[in-house]
Amino acid sequence: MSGMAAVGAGGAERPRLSLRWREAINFYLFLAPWILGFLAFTAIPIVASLFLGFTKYNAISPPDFVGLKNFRFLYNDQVFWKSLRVTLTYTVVFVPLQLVSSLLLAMLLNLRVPSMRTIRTIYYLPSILPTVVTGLVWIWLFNADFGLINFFLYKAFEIRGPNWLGSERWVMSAVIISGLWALGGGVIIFLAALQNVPGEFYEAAELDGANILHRFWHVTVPMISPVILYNLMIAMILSLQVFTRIYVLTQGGPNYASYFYNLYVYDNAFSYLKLGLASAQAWILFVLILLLTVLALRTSGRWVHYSGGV
Amino acid sequence: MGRRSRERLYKAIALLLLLPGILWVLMPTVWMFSAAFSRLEQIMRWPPDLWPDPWVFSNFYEGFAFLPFGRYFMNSTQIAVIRVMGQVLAASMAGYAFARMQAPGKNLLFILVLSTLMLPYTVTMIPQYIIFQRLGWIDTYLPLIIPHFDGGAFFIFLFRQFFRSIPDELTEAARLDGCSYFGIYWRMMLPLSLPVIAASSILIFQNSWQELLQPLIFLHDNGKYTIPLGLARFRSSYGSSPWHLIMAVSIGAALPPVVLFFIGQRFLLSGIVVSDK
Repeated sequence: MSGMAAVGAGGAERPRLSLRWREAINFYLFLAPWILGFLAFTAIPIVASLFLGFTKYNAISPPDFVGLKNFRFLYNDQVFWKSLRVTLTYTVVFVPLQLVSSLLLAMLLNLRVPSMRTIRTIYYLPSILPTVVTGLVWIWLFNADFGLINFFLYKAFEIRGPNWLGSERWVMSAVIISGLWALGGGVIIFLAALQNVPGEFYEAAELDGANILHRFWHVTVPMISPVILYNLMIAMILSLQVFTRIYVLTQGGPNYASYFYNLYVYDNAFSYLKLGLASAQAWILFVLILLLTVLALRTSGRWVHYSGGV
Repeated sequence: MGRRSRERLYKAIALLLLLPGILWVLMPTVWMFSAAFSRLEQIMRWPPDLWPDPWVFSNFYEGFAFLPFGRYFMNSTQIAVIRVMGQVLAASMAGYAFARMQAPGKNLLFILVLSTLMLPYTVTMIPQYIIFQRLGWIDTYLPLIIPHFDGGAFFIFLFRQFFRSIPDELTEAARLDGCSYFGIYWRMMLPLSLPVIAASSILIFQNSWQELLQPLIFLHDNGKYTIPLGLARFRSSYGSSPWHLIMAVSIGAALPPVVLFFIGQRFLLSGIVVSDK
């Protein structure tokens, strides 16, 4: 409040800003890279993209305002609905599976067992490998004739495995299976959270006679619930945007059975140069993600416990 | 059953669950190695035989000569290294500001930072393309690097969490001695945050190294391709082709992030502070 006064009250010393002002100026200086980057590459593009969503634009002639035409087109576009359905099906099945298996895996990897560091490393390995590389490998693992997956199915159960990536019925399962193979990122975050749960909590619970399930539900889950919420939202946001793995694995096929939302956005934008249409599509996904995030945050009050202010 | 023996039982069950899982987790990698050292005929054999017979070491040489993968490799390295440096610097600066300073608008800005996590890349992708085209940045590496110099929400958050866990007394003393904010950041905070720097460097390097969509959009000249783009293009242009060579190249492509991970592994957990202290 005395910022201005302090500037004037220099006296014999050279004029000085008050400490609070200096702090605020420093704050904005330190944040300058983010603010500039945000304005140039996020904020302005968001607004531009919203505008482009109402235009016809091919990157060569100037954008032509067409009102709601892009949205009407998408509403009647079967491929659009197909890509949305593919993506939502994947998200609804994949996200819970991924969340539960990441948490279970993190709990197993959190136990004090000899050579746990090596085991952790092995389980993290799939997440270190570039997605394009693992995608190429999975093409072969899923191969109907020579693939290891079908070989195991045959050896173990005498089943003739399907043509995973070539069949409309099985391709989604293949995509989900290959996704569940690389759990790393979420596991690391769960593991970091589990290691922050104070040991006394478990000891106290145990003295009260709580068994392992009780301890899980009444100590572990509440203690790490903010992280569960974070991983849930990130998993959801990412699975709605899957691109790389599909681009390599199936390129959307067969017959659009794995044509994910962002593949269609990419195709519209850069294969067909319908940049206005693609912008409209991108915005629809954005709104969908916003709605789902708000929903997750709204319902989280019931099960997320914050021990301190985050 | 006593507490001790029960603990043991849990651990035994855990190991029993983890060990078969290892086979599952390693299977693709094992196959990749096997294929990289095999002849093409062996890959397409039923039943599959993972032991190369004979071992073909020239796959690596041929693979990297087949397309200019050596050059793609250098391209990817260049992009990743520059991006890591800039992004870590920006993220640590922003994290420091959010953790240790007060300013009007701070909370709002922090919410803004976090909310960028929800933004699908496709929303900004098209305007970015137009901007980069105007700037003449298409077919340069700038679009793959410069936008990340904002630090990125996740990494800003990591640094913030870490800096918040450093006791105030430490910096208060330095401030009373007349140390500037930049001095504290540069001489105290950054050296202390080595685990976070290491963890974020590994993760950012990985992100950069495996990125496909951005190179796909911004790089058209195939001399400028990155490793993932080269591999993906190869996959789409040659349907049935030298997969043994591709796998040899893939091992090369996987090596830098794997090596980096092994070097910095011990920081990965300690650098990720998710709780508040």
